[in-house]
Parts: sequence; C-alpha cells; structure tokens
Amino acid sequence: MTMQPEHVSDRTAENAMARVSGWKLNRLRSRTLALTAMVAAALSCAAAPALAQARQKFNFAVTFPLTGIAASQGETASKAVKIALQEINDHDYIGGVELVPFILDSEAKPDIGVRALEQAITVNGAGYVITGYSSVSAAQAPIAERSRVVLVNVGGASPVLSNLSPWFFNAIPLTHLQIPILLEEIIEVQHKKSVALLFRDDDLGRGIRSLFGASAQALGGKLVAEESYLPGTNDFRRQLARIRAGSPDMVYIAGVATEIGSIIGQAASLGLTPLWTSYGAYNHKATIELGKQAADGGIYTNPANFGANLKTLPRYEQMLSAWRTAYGSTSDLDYIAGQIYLGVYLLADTLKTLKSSGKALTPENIRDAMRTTKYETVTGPMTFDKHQDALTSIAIYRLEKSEFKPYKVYSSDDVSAINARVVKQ
Amino acid sequence: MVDLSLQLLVVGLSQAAIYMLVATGFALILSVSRIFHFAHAAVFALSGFLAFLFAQQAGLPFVLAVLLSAVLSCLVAVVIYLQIYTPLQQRSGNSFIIVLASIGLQFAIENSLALIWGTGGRYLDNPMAAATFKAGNVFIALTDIVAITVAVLGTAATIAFLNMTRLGRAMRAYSENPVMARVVGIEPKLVGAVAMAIGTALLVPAAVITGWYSSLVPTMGMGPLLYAVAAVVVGGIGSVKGAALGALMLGLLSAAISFHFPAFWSDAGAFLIMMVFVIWFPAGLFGIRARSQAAR
Repeated sequence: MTMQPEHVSDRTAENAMARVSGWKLNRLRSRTLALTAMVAAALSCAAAPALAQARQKFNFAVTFPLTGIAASQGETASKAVKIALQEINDHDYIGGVELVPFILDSEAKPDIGVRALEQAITVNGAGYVITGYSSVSAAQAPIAERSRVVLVNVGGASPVLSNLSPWFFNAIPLTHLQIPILLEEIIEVQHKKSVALLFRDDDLGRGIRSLFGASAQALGGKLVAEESYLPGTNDFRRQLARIRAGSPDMVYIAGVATEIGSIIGQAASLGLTPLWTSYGAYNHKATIELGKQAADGGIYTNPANFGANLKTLPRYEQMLSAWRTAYGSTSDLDYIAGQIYLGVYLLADTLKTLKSSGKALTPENIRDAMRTTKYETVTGPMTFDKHQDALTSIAIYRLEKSEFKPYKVYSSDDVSAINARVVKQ
Repeated sequence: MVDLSLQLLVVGLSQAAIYMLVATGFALILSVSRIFHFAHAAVFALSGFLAFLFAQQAGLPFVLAVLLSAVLSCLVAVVIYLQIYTPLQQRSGNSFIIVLASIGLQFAIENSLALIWGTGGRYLDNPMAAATFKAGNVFIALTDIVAITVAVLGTAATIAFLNMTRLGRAMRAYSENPVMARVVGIEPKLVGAVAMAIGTALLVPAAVITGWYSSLVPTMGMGPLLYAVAAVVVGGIGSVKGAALGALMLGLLSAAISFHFPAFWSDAGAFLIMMVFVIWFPAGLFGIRARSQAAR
C-alpha cells in the first residue's frame, strides 16, 4: 500500500522512468555495473516492507527570496521552516505523516518566483506551496491553479491578491483590511488629519494606492500628497521634497522592508519628520539602522501575535521558545518568521484534519479543508473568508527605542466592523 | 512653491554630484583607453564594500578606510585593464569583444561581492547624518555639501591634471590621436592605466555617499552608470568636461521636472529631453572626436 499522496506517487514513478531512460542512453556495458544494479534492486525489494511501515511523506515548498535585495527574509524564512518541522516531524504532530520541505529562491521577483514554483511542482512534487511578496504571489497564482496545487501567501499584503484563484489563499490580512485600522487610529484617535502616501510602483503599492485616499477621506482625513517610485530606486529625495511641501501629519510608506529605513533617513535630511506609518515591512532591522532616531515612534499594522491584553499568544510563545532554543536569541526573529511558521502549521493542521477524517492527503482535499477549518495560529484564531483571505486579529505596533512593540490589538470581529464602517462611508 | 523649488535644487545638485563623479571617470576611461568600461558599475560597488570592510568591519578610522578602499579599487581597475582589456585589444582590437569581457567582469565582481557580503544590504554609518543646515524652509544636509564639494573638486582636479601636467597632456594627446601619440613615444598602456586609476578614484567618494544615503548592495552601481553614460553622450564622447556638465544637467533637469510633475516621471522626462538634445546635437556639448571628424 502506498503511503504517498497520489500526485507525489505519480511524479516519483515518472522520475524513476526518466532515470531508467537515462541509463539506457548511457548504454551500460559493464557486467560489473549490471550486477551492481541487480544487487541494488534486490536490496530495494527486501527493504520495501520496512519502508511501508515508515511515515508517509508529504512534500511542500517555500518560495522566498534567498538572494537579491530581500535575501535576509529568505534566511529568516528558512529558520522558521526548520523550527516548525522540528516540532511537527519530531513529535509526529500529524500522526504518521512527515513533512518534507523544499526551499526555493524567488529573489522577490515575479518571473523567478514563477520558475521556483514550477520547479517545486514538477521536480519536487510539492502539493502545497508557501509564498510571499505581492507581485510574486500574483504571478504564481495562475501556475498553481493550472497545476492544481495549493498556494498560500503568507507575506504579500496587496489588495490585488484577494480572490485570485480557488487554489490561492492569503494567510495574512491584506492591506485593504489593515489600512482602515491604522487610519482610524491616526485620524480619529490621534487626530492627525492630513495624510500622505509614498508607494512603490508595483502590485503592492498600486493596490494600497487604490484604497488609501478613499479610506482616509471616509474617516475624515485628507490626502495631501501622493508620490511613487520604481522598484530599485535608492534615492527618494525628490519624492520626499514634494511630500514635504504638502505638510502631512502622517506619511504611509507602501514599500518593501529594506527601503523603509532609507526613506526615513533621507526624509530626515530634508527636514521631513512626520509620523511614519506602514504595514509589516516596517518591522525590519534596516528601518532602525538607516532610519535611526527618525524611525522611532513610527507605527505599523501586522497580524497580531498578542491577545487583547498584549499578552503573547500561546502558539507564538511556543515559537519564540523554540527559536530561542534553536538559535540562541530572538533578535533576528521578525514577522516573516512568524508568518512562515504559521504557513507550515496551516498545512500540518489541515493534514491532521484530513487524516482524522480518513481522507486522502491530496491538494484538492487540502484546499477544501482550508476553506472550512478554524485554525489556532501564531496570530490567534484564523479562518478564511469567501475570497480565501485570512480573517484574524491585527495589531498596531510601534517602534520604541529601537524595539518593535505592540500597543493595540484588534480581534477579527473588530477588523470586520471597522472595515464595514469605512466601506459604508 | 519657492521652498519646494529651492529644496529640489539642493536635491538635484546633490544627485548630480554623484552622477558627475561617475561620469567624469567613465568619460576619462572611454576617451583615453577607448574601452566601454561596463564593469565601472561593479568597481563602484566594490569600493563601497571595501570602505564598509575597513571602516565598520575592521574598525579603522573613516578617512583611512576610504583611502584604503580607493587604493585597492584602483589596483583592481588597473589589473583589469592590464590583464584583461589590453591583451584583448592587442589580440583582436574588436571593441565588441572588450564590451562583452567587461559585462562578464561586471557579473563576476557583483557575484563575488554577493558571496562575501550577501545581497541583503550593508549599512554604512554616516558620521555626518545628523548635521543639517536650515536656510529659511530649505534643508541642506552636510552630506549634500560634502558630495557637491567633492564632485566639484574631483572634476576640477581631473581637468587640471589633464591640462597642466605632462602625463595629463600625454593622455589627451593619445585620446585625440593615438597613432601620432605612439609615434612621439607616448606609452598606451601607461596612459590607459592612469586613466583607469583616476576614473576609479573618482568613484570611491560617490560609492561612499550612495552608501550613506541608502545601503550597499552588489548591484548599486548600475543606476549611477546609466546616468553616467547619458551624461557622457550629452557632454560629448571624448570630453571629460562635457561629461561633468552633462551630469549636472541631468541632475538639475530631473529636479526641475519634479517641480511640475510627480517625481516618478522625473528620470523618464530628463532622459527624453536629453535624447531630443542628442538628436539635434549629435556631437554633444563638447564632442571633440565627433566634431573634428565632422569638420574633416
């Protein structure tokens, strides 16, 4: 009896066939080699019963930048996968199933991300793929749909990722859910009415631009400046000089993590020191190293790893502890690590559910189960709405004396209520 | 509106300073050695990382770190010239092959930097980060003043060297007529190597200032090189003075466009205007070779 999911077994067979063809082409002539092959075949037959008793393997992949401008995030992602798998595989969390990871480089670029996904599906036989970055996820979604593989975005936050494909899930609250939360805090609580937007000209930035001004207006604010820049830009001072002319109380940066510190540092050199805001990308060491004191006090939204009382959630605490044990300290642990860890556990929990109900571990069944399962994650309870977007808690965090700290948590119900109010207005 | 225009003028001058340093060096190398030194971009990144290595990883005093970076970068550039470009020039004389070699070098150096320092970005501490002057409502960072001063002095010193020293005049002579220059005893390898060294030395402050404003990544030289090439074309191929002026025009034009339109369009607009300029003045502002050829 095979213990592999169907799609994995088929590909394994194909790979074996390809290998045999390769041997034929090489025209093995030596008797010694032939004899070795026969011995190896005999040994394989002898080992088969033992393998049958081994745990079923399920291949999954992570496509994240391992090189390029965001390579540091790939490094964190790899560490997160490692600790999640230590817990899942070492303690037989799923019950008879071992997760086998393949971590592939997307360089945070759509074309490279597509290639990585194709490799994950066709070469590595992955039935579930974790990804990040809005442009990469948007480019990968059609490939996942065509290949009937579950693709889970844990890092890209652009609103354009909503409702992309039946095979695509967003395990991070997209910015169209996060921005109204942040704007309510800025405009209604802190009474900072004039706001500005600086966005990267990519899927994330354009997606945020499409709703930022309207959301601010709905909450009584005014968009006084809006500027954009091309990916790859490293001097933002022309944009910042124009934004300064609008005298905003707050500037929202819709860029990638490594750009935010540069932007804030350059803005300070021009005398632009508003309240800086962003989404989770703000939580990066470059924000502190390049933004320096000017970045202090900046606030951003992210999935909450804390309860309403700002106490760390149990599963996040478990992750922190595992991280500390594995790597000595949590100084390099950022939100991406939590999200990747979450993505691996979504798979493990789903497989566990399927196992307990006696269903096959196929991508179709995983997809269907994800639509209805209520998960307990590092960001609290999580479900997926009809667009397959995560409904979970969101926190507002603040950078205080070079430390990222939460100061307000919104449950998924709060998030839905504030968003409904913005849409209504 | 006056504040915005003046602030954009400061930003434009600061950006033009970087372009000017890269363009002056690139133009000098191109005119003397006749090599389209594509790897200039990678050497730019190399010099930034070397400054980071000596200043932050080895903890040397900043000025010493920059000097060491300059010496090593120049050495690398001269070795590239003598060991790669010159043999290729002697064997084939085909400039296309040399450009291909230069592109290969560009990738090799970039990948080596990525192997050593990674691709995630390194942060070069700016000792002047907090120093900013305010004139009315216009902010001028000390870093901007340093960038502009270094660019002006570097360019002026290069022009003075070319006009006032025996070696400089030999380089100009070789640039204008290599055959005659050889006849009178000018050594091509020597003038080419000196051009590479001066061109590279000009890169070092530009790379350090770029590192201060953003972060050091192996691909950081490509943007400045693009501007430098545009500046060289506008200034006139063969003219160091023209390249510097072209870079200044490019920086100021981008700033001027940002005054009227979103800054996103400033580079595209500036390059478009420059393209039209070149159509009308194909020899550029000071295109010695092109103009003299046209006159013949």
